Amino acid sequence: MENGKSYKVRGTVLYAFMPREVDHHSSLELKTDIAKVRTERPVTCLVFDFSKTDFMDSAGIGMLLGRYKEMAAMGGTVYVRNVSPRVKRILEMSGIYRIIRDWDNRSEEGDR
Amino acid sequence: MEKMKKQESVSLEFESYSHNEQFARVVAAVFAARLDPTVEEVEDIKTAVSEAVTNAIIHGYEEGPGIVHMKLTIREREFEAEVRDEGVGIADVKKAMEPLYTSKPSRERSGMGFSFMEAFMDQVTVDSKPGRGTVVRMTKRLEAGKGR
Repeated sequence: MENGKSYKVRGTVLYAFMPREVDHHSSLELKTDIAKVRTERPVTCLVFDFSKTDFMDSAGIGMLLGRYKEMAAMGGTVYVRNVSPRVKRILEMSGIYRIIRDWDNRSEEGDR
Repeated sequence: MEKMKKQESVSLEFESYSHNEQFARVVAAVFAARLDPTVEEVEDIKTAVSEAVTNAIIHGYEEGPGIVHMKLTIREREFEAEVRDEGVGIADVKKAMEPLYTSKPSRERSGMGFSFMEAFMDQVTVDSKPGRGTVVRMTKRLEAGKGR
């Protein structure tokens, strides 16, 4: 796959490995790819892994918000993971940490 | 060796395809590199340019065909990016620039484009009229060059 994104499903958790650059262009594909996986497998939790990401703009935030709304509508959850300092700054500026938390900092109880 | 001019510009015109968002960022980064910016300054410029170009593509041309014009200028330690489209234009610029305002919520727009531009650049001005296109001009003064 171009730009290095990929997906993994474990149980009902979908891990989406973000590409190196998350912008309007790559967000379009991410949205359709995730929708496709969700038609094939039951997904109750979506984890965006930013290990490979070194760029993200507000289009990426819009994409995350769109996925959050979809998941929240069916009682699901969304997390981010392996966020670089730069990407963390973008997430913090957007205020999205109020509704999407870091996977590795989730509490033992309540979050699965 | 040529003496460095005090001011120099470079212009790029490209079609409103979303894959050109990255292309525009890279061009801006390469041109800004002449001023020996920090990594963070380059990332800030790339992000701001990405926002402006994406707006031209999504809002200016409503994801249809059109030409996006980008003019980059360096003046001493100042970097300027001007992104222009001949698209639909903005009726109420002040409202458009309000944090979280978006005219396209169904298209998963965060409404944060202008806020990000203003956060990462020193000054952002927007000139636009409905039916007459939009010009976004952003400047950033970079910290002292060599020897950092």
